[in-house]
Amino acid sequence: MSVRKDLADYGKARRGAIDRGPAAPRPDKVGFVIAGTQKGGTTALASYLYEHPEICIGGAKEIHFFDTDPLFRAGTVPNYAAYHARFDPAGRERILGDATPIYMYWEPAAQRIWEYNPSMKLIVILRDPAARAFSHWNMQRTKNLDPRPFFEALKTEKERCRAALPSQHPLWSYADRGFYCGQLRRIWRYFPVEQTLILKSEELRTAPERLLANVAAFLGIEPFGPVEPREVYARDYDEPMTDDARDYLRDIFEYEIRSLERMLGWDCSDWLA
Amino acid sequence: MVGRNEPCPCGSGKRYKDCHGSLAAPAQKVAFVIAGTQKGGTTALASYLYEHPEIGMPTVKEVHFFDTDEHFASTEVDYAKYHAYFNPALRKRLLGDATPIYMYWDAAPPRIWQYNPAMKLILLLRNPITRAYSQWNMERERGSDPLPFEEAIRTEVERSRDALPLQHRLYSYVDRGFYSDQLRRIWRYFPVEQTLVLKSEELQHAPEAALARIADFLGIARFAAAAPRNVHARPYQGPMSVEARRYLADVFEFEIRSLERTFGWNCAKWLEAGA
Repeated sequence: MSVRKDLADYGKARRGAIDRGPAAPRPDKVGFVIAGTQKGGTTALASYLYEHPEICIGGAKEIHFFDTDPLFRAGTVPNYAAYHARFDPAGRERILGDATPIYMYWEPAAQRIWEYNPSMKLIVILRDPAARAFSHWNMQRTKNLDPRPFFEALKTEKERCRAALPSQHPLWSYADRGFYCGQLRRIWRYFPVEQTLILKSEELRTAPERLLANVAAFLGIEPFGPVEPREVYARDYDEPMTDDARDYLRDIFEYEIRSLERMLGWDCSDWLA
Repeated sequence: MVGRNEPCPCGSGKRYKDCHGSLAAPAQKVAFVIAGTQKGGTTALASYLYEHPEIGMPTVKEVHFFDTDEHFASTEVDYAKYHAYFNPALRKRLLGDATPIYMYWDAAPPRIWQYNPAMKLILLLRNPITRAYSQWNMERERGSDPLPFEEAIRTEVERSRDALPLQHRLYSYVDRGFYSDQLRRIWRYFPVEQTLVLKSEELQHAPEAALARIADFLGIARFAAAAPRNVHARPYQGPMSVEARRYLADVFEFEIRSLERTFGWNCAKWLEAGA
């Protein structure tokens, strides 16, 4: 994840050059998370936020605090000081943000975030779940973490993922992570809808200015400067998705996508095309 | 919680510590659960199972073991407390527990899996629209919910936060109807072959066929002839309002379509008014 480190350094350098405002007091809690979805453009979104003078994004890479189960053993108080040590706000940076895209998928995370800070704001960026699954598999294949072909990995996902029980499977959950409605309902069980901002991943490419204006208004920060689209899905695929995998995903996600459209008032016809 | 010197809840007359509370008690594990859905006909199904000679059901109607967080506060779970609900003198081949909140309660499937990964799960699914109304009627009748139905479902997400960090047992009228998520969580822990999912209507309208499937699933002898039973028919104050039905049809339309696709069901009636 050196990309994240580079972006952090770049952001700090750029801010150092332009930002001469009075220093802000250090916030006592992390104020927002970019909670997912994995392969949904969270890194690109974080890269814009790195450059914002009022925002401090923690960690040179994903922090993975609320999904690290051993940190939350029953009867113990989580080491929030260690979490806070991952943030190093400078200058006018007055809001701390944690971009760890597994949070929305990891079942215990929402409760842990709520216990830490019930006023937390959550940004979620959603991508076509079929494209997300294929992107996820391509990443694991490139990292040599999954030897199986995509369609086979999908068809055997439930059985394979039982290897991680009682936890969810962090690597092979290609289809399971795409059931966004249940993940959103779990977030809304803990947090009022007004504390959440649900974005469509494709808008990072097609309408980044509007998307970032929404983010700025949601976080209560000054508008972003001029915005250029950034490469969101950087990995090249060796081969396109096969038809059988595409049909399979369409079958399992069609009504999920329809539900999401209705729940959010979105048009996802591009996901169903 | 049962005190160690109190009578054992299994009805043996012995003290708990000398009976099921004994740390040396050999345990027959519970082999299946009727895990939901609430208002889906689980009590009627349990009433048939009580009469089956190979099945041992608990001494109370709903055990509520896997959704009671206190049982799981320590890393060493005392399953003797669970087994104490079953009378060992009956020597039944299979023990079963009918507690319909299990499928909804987030923490329950992992706990069931940790207890017995070979557990079989029976799930009765009812039209989530009428299920919600039936639950509200029950809570209203018990004096547990003063709000009118439509207001209760429109404010459910906010109201249910009173129970945080837990799910809300009473006001979860809509939330309990998202069966697909609940099934996916169950299948995360248990192979599909260890689960049997039926429509509530199957048990209601064709109990013999439904019970035959259940007997085969559990590996027990077929049930004697079974007449339809309506165990919990409560009078409603009135029918669901058109507005509430429209709201819920909107919320559940694609959930229902998704179930149809998953199970090859036809649930067209669930979306019709008056169904």
